[in-house]
Amino acid sequence: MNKAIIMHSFLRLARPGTLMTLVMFVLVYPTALIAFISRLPSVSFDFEAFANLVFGPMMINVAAFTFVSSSIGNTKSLDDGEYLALLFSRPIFRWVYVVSKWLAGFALVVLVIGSQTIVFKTLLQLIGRGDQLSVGFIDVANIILNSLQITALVAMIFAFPSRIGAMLFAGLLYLSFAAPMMFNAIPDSALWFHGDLHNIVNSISGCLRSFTYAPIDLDPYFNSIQILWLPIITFASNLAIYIWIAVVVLNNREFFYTN
Amino acid sequence: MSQQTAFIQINNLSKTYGLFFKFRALTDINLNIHKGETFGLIGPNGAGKTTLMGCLLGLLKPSAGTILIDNKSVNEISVKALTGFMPERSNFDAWMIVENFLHYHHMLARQPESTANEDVTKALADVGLEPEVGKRLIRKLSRGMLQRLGLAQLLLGKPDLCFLDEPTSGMDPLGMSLVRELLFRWKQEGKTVVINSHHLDQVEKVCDRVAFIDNGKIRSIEELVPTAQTKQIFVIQWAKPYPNEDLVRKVAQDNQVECQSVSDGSARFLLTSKTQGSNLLRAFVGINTQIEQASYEHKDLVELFRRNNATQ
Amino acid sequence: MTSRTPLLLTITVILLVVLRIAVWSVETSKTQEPDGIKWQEPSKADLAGISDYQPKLVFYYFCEENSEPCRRVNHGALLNKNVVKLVNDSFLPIRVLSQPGTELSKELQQRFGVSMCPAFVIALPNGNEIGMQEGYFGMSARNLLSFIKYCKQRKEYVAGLDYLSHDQYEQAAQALQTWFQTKDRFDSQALDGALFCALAHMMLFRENAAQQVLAKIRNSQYENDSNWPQPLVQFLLGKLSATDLLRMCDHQDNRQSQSLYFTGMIELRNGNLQGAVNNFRQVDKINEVSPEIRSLINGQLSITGNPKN
Repeated sequence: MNKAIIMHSFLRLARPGTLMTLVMFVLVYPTALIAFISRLPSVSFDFEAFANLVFGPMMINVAAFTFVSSSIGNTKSLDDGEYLALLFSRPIFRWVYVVSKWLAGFALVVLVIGSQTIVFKTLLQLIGRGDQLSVGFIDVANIILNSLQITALVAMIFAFPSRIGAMLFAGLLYLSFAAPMMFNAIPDSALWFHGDLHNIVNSISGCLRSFTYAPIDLDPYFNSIQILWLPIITFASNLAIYIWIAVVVLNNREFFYTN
Repeated sequence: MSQQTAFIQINNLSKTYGLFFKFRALTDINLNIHKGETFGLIGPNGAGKTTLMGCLLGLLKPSAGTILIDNKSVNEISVKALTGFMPERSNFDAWMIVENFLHYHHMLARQPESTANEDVTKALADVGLEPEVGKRLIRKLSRGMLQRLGLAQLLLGKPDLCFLDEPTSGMDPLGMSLVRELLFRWKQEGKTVVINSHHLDQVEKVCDRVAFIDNGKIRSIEELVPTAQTKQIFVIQWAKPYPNEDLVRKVAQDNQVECQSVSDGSARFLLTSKTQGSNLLRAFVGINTQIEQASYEHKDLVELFRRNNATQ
Repeated sequence: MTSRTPLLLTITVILLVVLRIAVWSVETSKTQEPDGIKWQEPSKADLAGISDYQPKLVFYYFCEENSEPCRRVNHGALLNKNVVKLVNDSFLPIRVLSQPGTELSKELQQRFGVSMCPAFVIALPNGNEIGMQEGYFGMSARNLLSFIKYCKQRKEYVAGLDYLSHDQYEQAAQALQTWFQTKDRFDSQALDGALFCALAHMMLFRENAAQQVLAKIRNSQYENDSNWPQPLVQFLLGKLSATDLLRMCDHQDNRQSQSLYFTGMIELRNGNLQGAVNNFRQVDKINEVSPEIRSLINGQLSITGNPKN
């Protein structure tokens, strides 16, 4: 880990544009949502699902893509990106750069989601519904683990040159989600090839999907009648694969006036 | 100089861009740069100078051939630790405050934290930036100031090997003379410097050797300081009364310097080292002749540049 | 070398990938389902909503075979000890596997308005929906337990309205009383329950009981700042005429339909069958009513509007 890179990643938050987005995230979004909720009748399970709008995987993903993406290797916009040619002329291992950016990004996402959750809780308390958003140990652990994973995924995507990264990500999303959903809507009888085509396509897309996005939820591991190891192994291996790909890609990238 | 061990060794270096439509940017480059040498890369636009510098910095991967710096790969951490780089494009983090940016590079260059404030202040002063500039946002700096900032970040790493890509582009005359002074100082400190510049007069004044690159190939390497192999003309002019020709030739002979010609109060000598020039001057001052001017008759780089381009 | 991938990282990746493949092969080759929820297959009876023969609520789980979110729910929330116990003890669990070409699953999805998988629907044995939870997000065991508990409470409300629509006023009053008393907060649903409870008491000519319930509404600090339910309360207390009540609806469809229903029921209580039918028909023309009220009105219409009743 490189202290300079981590500090620099945090300093990036102080840019006016990023600060505004941060305020939107941490203050405006919770206020708007709570204002809306205060007009709704209080229904207990709605509030449980509402927790996902506060610290669920979706929010963690949005935070990671908003605050971390431009900080890795995407130097297309010089105003936003970093001058990697100058950075890599310094005595820095590129894998240290990736790991430092990943961990700094992880800390940033946890900080953003954590602050947002505190604001949500405070606002709910003010309208007398504080008891309806409980943040327990499992939630905190889920935030930490999913932030670790999504920032590693962001590090991987943005370690590629920007266009290739975008194409790769869009392609993976298409092949893992959109294409198989469309394909599943076609009845067996309409396919020219009869047999297990649906199953084959679904197996491939399922495999791709598990590499593309696999947020972990620790909830089932408490009081479960059967412990399943696959999600844990999938999570750990995805983490390692993302970082490994990011390191390999960055090691092979050229950074001389080509960024 | 050729007897010295080469500090930078480039052997059969080639670099090709593109996956499907290949473009050869460098072809079979062989070059040795010695420790303490100031080396210039000159050539027309698109000749491959920048690519060569990118390869030397380890930021571009050679398609063939090898580059060794201090007998190590360019990507060795120990090589990077002694390298400083001033890029042509000053696309620094525009949102940062100058001092923070320099502190960041001080840390990246693995310099001790205890000296950070002192080093940053000194770097700013060395490149002629006022301390109040340190408090400004980088986006508020002029082009010339950005160039100076580029030099300042290079200085922070206290490098032994400096790569300067168009160091004076966008600089005012004061900035240009500052770069020249810095380069002379580095030469005295024994730093190895590789400059990529279009300002031939600048290169001519500071470089020991230059390589003419065109179309990805080194066309020629020219010595700009005298050596045993490449003698250089040293011209002395006297004020009246002029010393007579015999006296001039005798002093030259005493100092083992070949006198080429003597006429109208001036003489041309062929030197094989720079110390010969200072010895000669000392001798003429010793016999009370009044020296008006003394200088090397520099090779005209513009002429060499034209000649190299014409021989393609 | 600054641009070399650490060997340790590469070895870790290889080991984890090998481990992942091994665990995946073992887990997918397991044919025996874990001893969890005892699922039943859906039948045509579910479609018709005639499962009255069994007393338990029905717990429908809509899922797809090759869906990753469904797999996650299967291996997550549905393996939770508390969920398994609660579902097996208190519900009739039916798993509706959505596959291309299976008409029954499609029709069941349409019946409950399920638009995505995984989805859970808890319904009365007669098919009246109590609650629905859709999509993967929020499908943790805690959320599912919370949803089930909520539906178990809400069952009284749905059942109460069902009884009311079938003229079973005694059962309706009991169920609705239980419903609004279990609510710790006097929200819009508790308020609805209390109003219908008072109506059920009125239908049974138990003015005192009705007045007690209505007093609770009047004394409650209802969180909505609008004054709306008070005119209805006044009407049920006999302090406001039907015409005045309808005038106070401010042309809001939901208020109008609610007022028309209440005035219709009071007409029915007073023996003015024609007046009641007219009111219910007017309600039927207004679409802005909740599904529960709609089924309630339809039930009343079939009772009061049908010549054989």
